[in-house]
Parts: sequence; C-alpha cells; structure tokens
Amino acid sequence: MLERRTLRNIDYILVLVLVLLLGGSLLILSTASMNIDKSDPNHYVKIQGLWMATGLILAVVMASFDYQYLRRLSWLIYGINILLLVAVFFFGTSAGGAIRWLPITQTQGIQPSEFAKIAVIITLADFLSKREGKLNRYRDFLAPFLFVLAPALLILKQPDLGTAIVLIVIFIGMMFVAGANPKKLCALLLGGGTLAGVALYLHFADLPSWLQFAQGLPLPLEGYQLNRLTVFVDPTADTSGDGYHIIQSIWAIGSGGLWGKGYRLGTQTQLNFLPEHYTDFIFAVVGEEFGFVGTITLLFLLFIFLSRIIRIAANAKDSYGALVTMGVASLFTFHILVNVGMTLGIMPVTGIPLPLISYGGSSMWANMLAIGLLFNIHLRRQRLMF
Amino acid sequence: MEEKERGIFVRRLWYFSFVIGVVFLILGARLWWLQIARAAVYAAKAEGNVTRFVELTPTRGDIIDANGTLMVTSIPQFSLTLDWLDLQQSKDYKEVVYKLAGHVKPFWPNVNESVDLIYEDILAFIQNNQWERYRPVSILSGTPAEMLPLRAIVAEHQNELPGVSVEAVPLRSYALDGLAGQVLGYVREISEQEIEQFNGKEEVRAEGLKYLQGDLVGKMGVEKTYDLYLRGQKGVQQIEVDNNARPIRKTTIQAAQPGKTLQLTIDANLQAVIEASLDEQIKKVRETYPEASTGAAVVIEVNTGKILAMVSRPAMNPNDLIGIISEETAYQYFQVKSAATFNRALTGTYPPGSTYKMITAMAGLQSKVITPEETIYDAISSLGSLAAQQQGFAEWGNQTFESVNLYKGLAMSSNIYFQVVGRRVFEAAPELMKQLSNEFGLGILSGVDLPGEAKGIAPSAEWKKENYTPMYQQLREEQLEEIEARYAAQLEQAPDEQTAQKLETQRANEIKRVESEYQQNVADNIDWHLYDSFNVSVGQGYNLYTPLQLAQYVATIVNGGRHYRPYVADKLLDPVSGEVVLRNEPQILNTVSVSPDILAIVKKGMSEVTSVGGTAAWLFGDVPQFSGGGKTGTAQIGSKGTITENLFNGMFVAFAPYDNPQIAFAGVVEYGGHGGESSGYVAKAAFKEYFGWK
Repeated sequence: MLERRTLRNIDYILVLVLVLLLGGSLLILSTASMNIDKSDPNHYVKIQGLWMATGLILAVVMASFDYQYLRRLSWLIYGINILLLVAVFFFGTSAGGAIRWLPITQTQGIQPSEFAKIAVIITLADFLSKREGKLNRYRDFLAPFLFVLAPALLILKQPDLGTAIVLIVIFIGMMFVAGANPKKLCALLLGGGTLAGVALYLHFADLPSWLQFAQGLPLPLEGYQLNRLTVFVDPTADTSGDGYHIIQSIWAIGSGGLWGKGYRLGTQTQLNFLPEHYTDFIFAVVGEEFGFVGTITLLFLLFIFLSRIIRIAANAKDSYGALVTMGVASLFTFHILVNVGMTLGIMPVTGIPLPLISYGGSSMWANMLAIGLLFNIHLRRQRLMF
Repeated sequence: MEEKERGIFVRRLWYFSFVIGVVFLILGARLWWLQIARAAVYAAKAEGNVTRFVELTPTRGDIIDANGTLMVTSIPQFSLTLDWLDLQQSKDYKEVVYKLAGHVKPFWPNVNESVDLIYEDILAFIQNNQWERYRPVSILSGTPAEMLPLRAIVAEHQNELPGVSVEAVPLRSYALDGLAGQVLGYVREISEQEIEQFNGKEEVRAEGLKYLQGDLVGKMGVEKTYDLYLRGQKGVQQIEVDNNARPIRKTTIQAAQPGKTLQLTIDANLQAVIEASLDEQIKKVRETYPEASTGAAVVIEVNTGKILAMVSRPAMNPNDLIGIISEETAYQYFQVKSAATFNRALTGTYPPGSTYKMITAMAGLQSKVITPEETIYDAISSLGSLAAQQQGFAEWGNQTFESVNLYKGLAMSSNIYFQVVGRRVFEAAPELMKQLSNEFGLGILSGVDLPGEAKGIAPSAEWKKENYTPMYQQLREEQLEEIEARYAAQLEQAPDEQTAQKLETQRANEIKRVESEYQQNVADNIDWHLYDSFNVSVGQGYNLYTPLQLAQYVATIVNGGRHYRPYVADKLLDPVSGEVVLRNEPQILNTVSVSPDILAIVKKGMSEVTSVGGTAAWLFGDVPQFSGGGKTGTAQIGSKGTITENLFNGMFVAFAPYDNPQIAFAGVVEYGGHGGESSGYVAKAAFKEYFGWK
C-alpha cells in the first residue's frame, strides 16, 4: 500500500489545480443551475458535491495500489466494459432519444459509455505496450483498431456519436505515443477524414446527373446528428433548434465582454435563453457572467492541468504508465476542444461535457478514476534515489 | 525505459504538447474575438433578447364648459385580463382557465356557448398571444355596469384564479348625452392620411410628439383642434422577459403624462337651452315639411369673440361614434344629406336673406347715396323703368309700407327700400358691399379654432367675373381647339382647291358661332346685372354665409366695429394642479371702415325690428326686460323656377342688451319660413337663459 516515502512524490501543483477546478465547478454550478429547480436553487450543487466527494474516494482508491496490478486484469476490464455497454441495450433508460443510462436507483443511473473511455485507456495501454516497436506497418494497426472499434460501435449504436469519436481520438493519441509510424498514422487519419467528408458531401450536395445514384446515400448517422452538422456550417439554418443553441451560446459569451455581467446576473443564463446551461453549455455561463477574464482563467487552469499530465507521462516508470497517462491526456484535450469549441460556435454540437466542470455523476466519477490513476502512476515513477 | 528510448518518447510528448497548445490558442483567439472585439455587438443582441417595451397609454384630457361643468371625460372601461406569469404560478393553469370559463359564462357575448367551448376559446386566445405573454391579455371587455359584477366574482375567487383580473382601461365618454356634439367632435383610430397631416404640424414637432399607427386621434371639433394637448404623452415601460416571453421585471422608464383639461367658452346650460329650443322649432316645421331636419344657431360674446353656444341639427352624440359603428349609425352620421357630423353653424352656408340688409344700409350710408331720413316710396315702381322692375323683388305679399326711411326699412324689412339703396350703392361703388361684408366677417374665413369652417360667398361684380370667367373661357377654348383639329384633318384630305375653300368657310362660320356664344355667356353670366344688384341687396343671389359668420357680423355692428376672431376654447389647464397652461386671448382681426355714427344708426334700426311696428316686435312682447335688436330673414332657398322656389329658411340675427351689448345671436331653421317665427324663438330662449329672465 501507500508508503510515506511514496506520498512525498505527490504533485502538489496538480492537486492545487484540481482543487481550483473542482471548487470552480461548484461555484459555476451554483449560478448555472439556480433556475432549474426553483424550490432549491442549490440542489444541483449539492448533488455535484456528492459526486465529487465519492469521486475523490474513488480516486484515492485508484491511487492506492500499484497500477501494474491493472495489467493483469486488463481482459477482465475489457470484458466487463463490453458487457455493460451491451447491458444498456437491455436495461437502459433513454434520455433525449438515446439510450445511455443504466438505472441504479429511481432517479440516478450510470452512463457506461463514460466509464468505457477509462476502460479503453487502461486496456489499450496494456495492449499497445506489448506491441511497442511493432507498429510500423499498416497491418499492425488493425489489431489495436479492432480492439477499440468493438466498444466504439456499441456506443455509436446508442446512439452517441460524440463518445464514439472520443474513443477513436484516444486510439489515435495512444497509437502516436506508442510509436506508431507517424506518417502512416497521418495517412490513415487523412484517408478516414476524406472518406467521411465525401460521404457527407454526397449526402448533402446537389450532384451532377452522372453521380445521381449516390444522392442521399445513407449515412450511419441519425437525423439530428446530420442536422447538427448542417447548423454548424450555418447556424441560421435552424434558429429554433440546434442553430438557436449555438446562436444563444455565442451571444451569451460575447455579451459577457471583458469582466462579465456578474455572478448570477447573466440574462442569457438566468432567463433560460442559453440551453443546457448547467451541463453541456456551462462554459457559456462562465463567459457570460465572468467575462473574458473568467474564461481565460478557466482555460489557463485546464492548460496547466494538461501540462502536468504530460509531465507525469514524461516521468512515468514504464511505457504502460505513460500510455495510460497520454490516453487520459487525449481524452481531456479532446473533451475541452469539442465542448468549448461548441459553445464558441467553432465545433458542431455534441453531447460532450466539459471535464470536471459540467454537471454529471458518471462523467465526474470516470474523470476521478482517471485522475486517481494519474496520481498512482506519478507516485510510482522512476526508482527513487536515497 | 532505456535513455535513448525515453528521448524519442519525450519528443513525441513535445509534439503532443504542441497540439494541445494549438488547441488552446484557437480557443483563446476565438474568445478574444467574441468577448473583446465583438462584445458590444453581442451585448446588444443579448439585451434585445430580454427586453420588451410596452407603451403606457395616457388618460386623455377632460373637456369642461365655461363654468367648469364636465362635458367630456375618460371613464374606465373594464377588461378581463390574464397575466401569464401569475397564471403559471398555479399547479395546472388549464384548470384555472376552466374555472374562469365557468365564472365568465354569464358575461360571455355568445349566451349559448357552453363552458367547455368558452374554455377552448380562452385557451386558443392564450395560444394566439403567446409571444406577448409579457403583458396581460384582454379576454373580454365592457362597460362598468357590465363588468363590475364580474370583477366582484373574480375578486371573491382570487385564490383559485391566479393571474386573472378585471382592469380598467380609459374610454372616452361624452357626459352630457352628446350636448354640443359637433363642437366637441369625436375620437377614433388615426388614418394613414392623418398621421402625415398631424405630424406635419409645427406645434406637434415643437412638442417632440409623433403620431403613430393605432393612435386614437380627434376627428372633428375641439377633439381635433386641441388633440395635441388633450392626448397627453405616452409612457414607456420596459419589461424583462425570459425565453418564453414571460415577464420577469417591469420598470417604468417614462410615466404617461395625462392630457390637459380643455375649458371651452361654451356655456353648457345655454347650449342645452338652445338645443332644446331649436329641436322644438324643427319639430314644428316638420308638421308642414316632414323632410325638414336641419338647423343651426350660434351665440357669441360681442366684446371677445367667445362662442358661448354653437348648435347644429340633426344632433350628433359622440358616444355613438365609439367602437364599432353600425351601418345605420354610419348612414345617419356621415352619408345622408342631413348628416349629423356636419356642423351647420360652422360649415353650412345659407343665403342670409333679409338679415343681410344691414350691410346694404351701411354701404348706402357710407357711400352717401342715402341718408337715414330719406324716404323711398314702397312700391315696385320705385325700382325704376319697367325693365328694372322686372328684375327686382316685389314686397312680401305685394303689400306696401308707403314711405320708408332706413329705420322703417329695417323694421319692416322692406325689399323695395333696400333694392333701391343697393342699386345706388352698386352704381356708385361696385365693390363696397363685398368689402363691407368681408370687414364684418362675411365671406371670409374667421380663423375659428374648429376644423372645417366654410368661407361662404360675398359677391360683387369683380367676384362674379373672377368666379365665372375661367369656366366660360375654358369652354370656348376647348370648342375652338376641337374645331381646329377637326378641320385640320379634313383639309389635309381635301381632294381639290374648291373643297378646301368650302371647308375654310365652314370653319370660319363655326368659330364665329363659338365666339358669339361666348359673348352671350359673358353678357348673361359674367357681367354684373341690375338683378344681381337687387338680389344681393336683399341677401339673396350669390350670398352664402355660415351662421357663425352672421353672428360675428352682428357682434361687429354692435360692439363699435371691432371684428373679433371667434373662438371656442378658452384655456388649457393642468389636470393635476389646475394651473392655466395656455389661454386664448380675444383677438381683433380688423376694425371696420364704417364710422361709429353709421354703426349706431344701423344698431338703432335693428332695435326697431324688435320694437312696436317691427317684424319681430311680438317676439319679445312677453319679455319686458329685453332691449337690443335683431333682424329677421326669410331666405329663399332656390332661385325662381326651381322646386325650392317656394321654400324658405327662417333666419334670425339678434343682440342684447341695447346699451353696452353683450351677446349676439344668429340662427337658421330649414324650411322655417319667416325667421322671426322660427329661429326667433331660439334667440328668445337663448337671451332668457343668458340674462336669467323668467
């Protein structure tokens, strides 16, 4: 278990940033969620606090044993993950047209897809660390890809395109760190992107007659997902639905100006013009009420947070630890880019929360599990000198 | 890990860090763009999201009479309203609406509608107004009598009816049952044309006001003239709304300023007496002429020009012109020949008949073609040659008053006497009659503070020429042009010289014919004739004046020759403090050129009319207090040979008392025959009321 000697290795800067981020989350939630349940303005702050407290316990647990132990459980974790994702189809409850939840109590449930991200990171790190130096050929890419594809497809089926893409991004990030041939990785990436682009183009564009057969080609996407892509290109195309969300989010952030409108004084937030303002669009609340100063401070904290994670990877004892760490870094970076970018109107609308800040239990627990793991890896870095 | 291996690994981490850096730079740059560079734009957009402005309607100013009696006010009309915000507070707003439907059933316009249907109707109404939820929606409105019971019910069940209230909205009410309706006017929604018209006014621009679509505006009478002051100033309320347009906060940015109180020069009691008396006279006339329905009367203060009463019949009750107007009402008020909205005292022009004879008298005296004492024998032969006699009027009923001087001429209303005098005046100074008429306010616009006054006609040779020449000239030119055009075409196609010659001759003949026709027209219709002189001298012919002008004319005779601008609005008062904001002062438009001596002679002549031997001597027989004078008129409506030849309007003008006269009267009763026997009674009633005689 933990020894006093090991504890001395704790990254206090990371701890400080974490405390600031979690405290910030509660502060932001206290204004962002105050008009959701009018009978108890602090209802969601309390629940989020509970998620954090339990999440911290999970993190401590995750940090307490030698992470090498996880390698032995790798296939077990992978199996449980797949089982949970399959279970969603049988026992899941739906929210907004998608079945993502496994009910635990009457009002609370867990979102296996959130934990799937962590499970994929832990198991893929083990999978890749065994293939280090053997990832130079295209055919070497196939096995790891299929390894991630299985859970990704299950999640896509829910449907949850955002989280499925997160898994792919984690895969790419970890492959790169694991030493996959960068040129070939890029080529694959470009190829995949081009394929998706062409498919979308064929779906939407007015085609010349010789290409008519491809018109309206079916895509593995739901109508609302296509709509989100449409309004991302042109928010005014749908001013009542997703386009409306993007426009209101931009207005909220822009109207905040340098200093913001003040705590609990944002009209866009408090009068409900801003949608989902305590979950996916929480960054816009920061922008409206705390202004440029607030948003830049938050981004700065997140940047420090990520740079500390990379520092952990650099100092990791072995490649398994480094891969896990960089998987988590990929996860957080992509979440921040997509979530913040969405509120700023430079990314399409997806249901991806802002890590550590957005309200949500499963996401908080998953993130805390990941962070616990990071501390674990950091505590047990290179052999200590006496 | 090996050292070398770690080196490669760390390099990959640097690449990774680079990607993260780029991500954060992009996000930061975008934040700078939205929150710094374009902050103002988005601040305005967000502001527009939540802000709605609601107009606060000011209460329109009251109108009171000279004694302070309330004539027009704004009374509350009650409106059943639903406030969405409050309604939302209840657990199930549909249940509230259902309960409301039950309570409202006895008051619902459609008596047979079931509670369920009323419920559906109200829900549909809420749905239709969903984007105006920030303000209460009116569901039903009515008079206090209709709505007060409902208000009590709503108050009683307030607990189960959140958001439901019965509120008052001001509605124009003409308190004295339409007394002086045409003077007061009425208020309705502004038309496209009127928006331009009102906004073009200098006072409106000076006050910084703007008339907008949907505004109510005075359409006639003082409601129109003084609309600017009566309407008050709109207030503005800012309402903060949420994304469902529900009101969150209300702030009054500018409170509505109530309109000013307008005090008229009209004496409501006097007005009422005259209205009743005129109605009585019209009723009397109707026994003989069932189609008779019109009449008018004016009383003005001779030393100020204040209009103390102004009556026009048929009566107009402005209360009838509020809200939806039935076809029947529209016909009666606007379309029929005897339209009630037509203010005959102001806009109606009438031949003055014998009431014009004072002008003839003054013109004769001023041009010295007669002295007051000179007598003329009252026989048709006095008019001159047989040809002249044929052009003149005989005495009424071919009676004779024998030797007639000026006083007797006025007293007996001798047509022969005034035709003789008039002929002399027109021969000595052709324009004098018109000039004097204008000096006394006849045939010119008075500048009264009421919209729509008529100018009337004070004729003269000059006037006749100016008025009719263009018409006949145009006719001549058109005919000549037509001839030229016709022959030009024919000449072009003429086969030989001979035919052309023939056409030329024909053309010359036609032109000659047109020219001679024109000369005939000039002689008949443009040149001044003796019969014109005769007609004008006794107030017939082209003479046309409004009752207001006739009253002014009498006032100017008896006040020593000062022609005042008539006015109906005395002052504007602040509705709260009662302070005078604006006051109309008496304004002398001109002083007449007639000498005071001549005015005194004519005034004396007018008093002879109401004294023993005068045409209206009997009228004031039972009122010994009366001193003053008058003049009767029995004005032929049509010219000889028309159907209206034997129809006469009863005209009467008068003043009182004789020494230091106070008021002047002018009245007309359609088909009233002898003026003294119709309008005269109205004058008598007016004087009795004004001076308090029993």
